Amino acid sequence: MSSQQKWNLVSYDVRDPKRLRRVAKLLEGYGERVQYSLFRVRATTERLEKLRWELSELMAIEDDLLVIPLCDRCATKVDDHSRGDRSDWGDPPPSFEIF
Amino acid sequence: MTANLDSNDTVAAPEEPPIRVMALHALLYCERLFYLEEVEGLYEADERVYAGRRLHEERVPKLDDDSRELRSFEVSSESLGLFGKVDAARIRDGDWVAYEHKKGRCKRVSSSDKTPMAWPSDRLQVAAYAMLLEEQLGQTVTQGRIRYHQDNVTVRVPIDDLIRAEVRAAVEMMRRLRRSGDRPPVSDNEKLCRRCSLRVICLPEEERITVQPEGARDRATLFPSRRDRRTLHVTTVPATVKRSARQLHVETDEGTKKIPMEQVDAVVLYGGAQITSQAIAACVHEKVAVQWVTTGGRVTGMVETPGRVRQRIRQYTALTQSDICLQLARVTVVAKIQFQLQYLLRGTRGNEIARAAAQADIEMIRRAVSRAEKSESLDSLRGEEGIAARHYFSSFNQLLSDRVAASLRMNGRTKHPPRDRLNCLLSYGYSMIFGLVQRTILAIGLEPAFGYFHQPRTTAPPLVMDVMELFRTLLWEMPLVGSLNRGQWDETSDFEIYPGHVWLSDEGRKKAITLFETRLTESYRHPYTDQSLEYGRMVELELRLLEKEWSGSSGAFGQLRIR
Repeated sequence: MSSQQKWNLVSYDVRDPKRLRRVAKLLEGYGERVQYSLFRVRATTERLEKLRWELSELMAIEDDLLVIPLCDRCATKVDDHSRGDRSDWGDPPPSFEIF
Repeated sequence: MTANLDSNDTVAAPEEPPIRVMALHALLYCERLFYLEEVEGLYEADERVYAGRRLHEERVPKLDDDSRELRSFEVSSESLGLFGKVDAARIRDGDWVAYEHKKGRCKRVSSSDKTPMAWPSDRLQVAAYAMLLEEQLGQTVTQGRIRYHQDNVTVRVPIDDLIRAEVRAAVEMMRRLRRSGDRPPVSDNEKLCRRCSLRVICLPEEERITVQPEGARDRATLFPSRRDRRTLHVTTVPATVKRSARQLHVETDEGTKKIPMEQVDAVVLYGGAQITSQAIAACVHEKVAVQWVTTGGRVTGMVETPGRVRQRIRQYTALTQSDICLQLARVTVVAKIQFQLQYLLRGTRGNEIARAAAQADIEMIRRAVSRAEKSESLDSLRGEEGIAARHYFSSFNQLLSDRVAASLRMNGRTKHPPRDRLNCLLSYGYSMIFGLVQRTILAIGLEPAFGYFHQPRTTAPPLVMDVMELFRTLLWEMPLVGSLNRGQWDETSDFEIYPGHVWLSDEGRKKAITLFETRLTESYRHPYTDQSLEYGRMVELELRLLEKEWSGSSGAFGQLRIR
C-alpha cells in the first residue's frame, strides 16, 4: 500500500537566489543532497505529493523541477563514485537511530 | 442586477458557525467522512489531497484578456451558513461566473454518450461558491464552471433555483449531522473507501469485519502495514537536538547528524539530553512527538498539543460507564493472560524438563484465564491478573536456555527498583512500551489519563497502563528471551549493579532500545483483521480499534494472540 517507500531523484533549476535557497532548505527536510541541485528523497507516494505541493508553493513558473522515481532495483544499481553519493541506496529505510 | 436572495433563506442560529464549502464535497462523498473531518476535526491529507493543492498552485491559469477577475479569495455568509475560498471569478458575457478547478476527470453521461458532466459533489460545490459570490458582490451569478484538468474539459453549471435549494438542503443536513454526537456508519460503497483520505482513521474494513460472517474476510485492509518514519533516541550526554529549517540536527561529541524532519516520527530524550525551543516548536508543527525519559527509563512527560474534543468527550462518556469498562478490562486481562499462557507453552515446547517444571504454573494460569473470561468485576480481574503474573514469572526461567548465565536469570519478579539483571531488563522494556503507547494515544487524539481498568494515579496515565498490557509479552518478553538465549547480554558491561538495585549501563540501554526497535520492524499477522503488519503499527491499530469500541463498532479490540 502507500506505506511503501521508494527512492526519487529531485532535481531543480531555480532562477532567483531567494527562491533557490528556500527550495533547497525545503528539500533538506525531505531527503539528502546528492549534488548541488540534486536531492535523493525516499518517500511514500503521499509524502512525495506533499513535497511536490510544498515545492509548487515556493517555485515560480520560470523555474524547473524534475522528479525521477527509481525502482528498488535501479536504486541498488546506483554507483557510489560520484561526489555526494552514499552507499546505502539498497538498505531498507531506518526505523530508528540511537545517539 | 441585484442579488436574488430569497427571504426564506435559512438563518443560521448564533451557535451555528458557518461550514466550509469543501465540506459539501465530503458530505456527498460519505457522511462519515464529513463527520470525521468537520465535526471531529480529523483531517488527514493523502497523496490525492496534496496533488489537488498543487494543482491550485500550478495550473489555475491566468486570464488571456483584460476582463475583471477575482482569484482565490475568501467568502463567507452568515445567512447561507457557509464559507470558503473561490478558485476564481470572472466576468463572462456581462455576468460573473464562478470557476472551480479539479485535478481529475469529469463525469460522462454514459459509456456510449461521452458528453462531459460535472460530478454531483463538484456541481454542488460550484453552486455554493456562486451563491457566496453573489452575496459578496451584490450581483446575480448565473453560472458556475468547473475545469477538469485531467481531460481538459470545462463543464458549465447553470445556477438555478433548483440547485440553490439543493445547496440549502445540504447545509441543513450538515448542521443536523454536526449536532449529533455519533459517528455515522461506514459507507456501503467500498470503492469510495479505497480513495478516501481518511481511510487510515476510519478503518472501514475493520468495521465491516465485525458485521460479516467468518470466512467473508477477503478484502485487504486500508491500514498502512509499515512505519514510514523513524524514531530518534538521544541517549548520550552531552547531546543537543537543534533545528535548521526543516532538518533536525543532533549534536554530540562525535559530530552533528542532520536528519530530514519529514522522516522522523518521534524524538525521545534520555536523561540530560538537550533540545532547543525552536526544535520543539518545529516538532509540534510537524506532528513529531517529543518525549522525555529518565536515565533509568521512566517516561516523565511529552509535548502535548490540544486534543480533539469530540473524540475525548466520547471517550469520557464511554469510560464512565462501568459495564463498558468491565468489558474492556475483561478483554484486556484475558488477552494478557492468554499471551503469558501461550508463551510459556510455546517456550517450553519440545523441552520436557522445562515443560515439567512449568506444568503446575501453566495449569494455574490456564485456570486464571477461564475465570477471567467469566469475571464480573474489576477487582476479580485484578486478582486473576495477579495470580497469572505470579505463576508466569515463577516459571519465566524455564523459557531461558541452559546456556544463559545464572546472573541473568530471574530471582522472583521485583520492580521499583528491579533487584536483578533480568528484572531490570523487563522493567526497562515495559517503560519503552509505555512510551510508545503514550505517544500513540496522544497522536491519535485520545486522552491517556482516562482509562478503563487501572486506578487513576497522577504518575501513570491509566489508559496507557491499560493498553500496554496487550503488548508486554509480544513486544518485549519474547524478543528479550530470544536475545538472552542467543547470548547477547553481557552480565558486567551491560549493567550497573548497586546495592539493592540494578540499572542498565549506557551500552546496555542502547542494546535494549535496539532490541525493542528491531522488534517493532518485524511483521505479524493480526488474527482479527488478518492483515500482516509491523509490530510498530500494531499499537496504533489496536488503539484505533479500541476507539471503535465506543464509536459504533465493537468486538475488534484486544483480539491479538500468539499462535
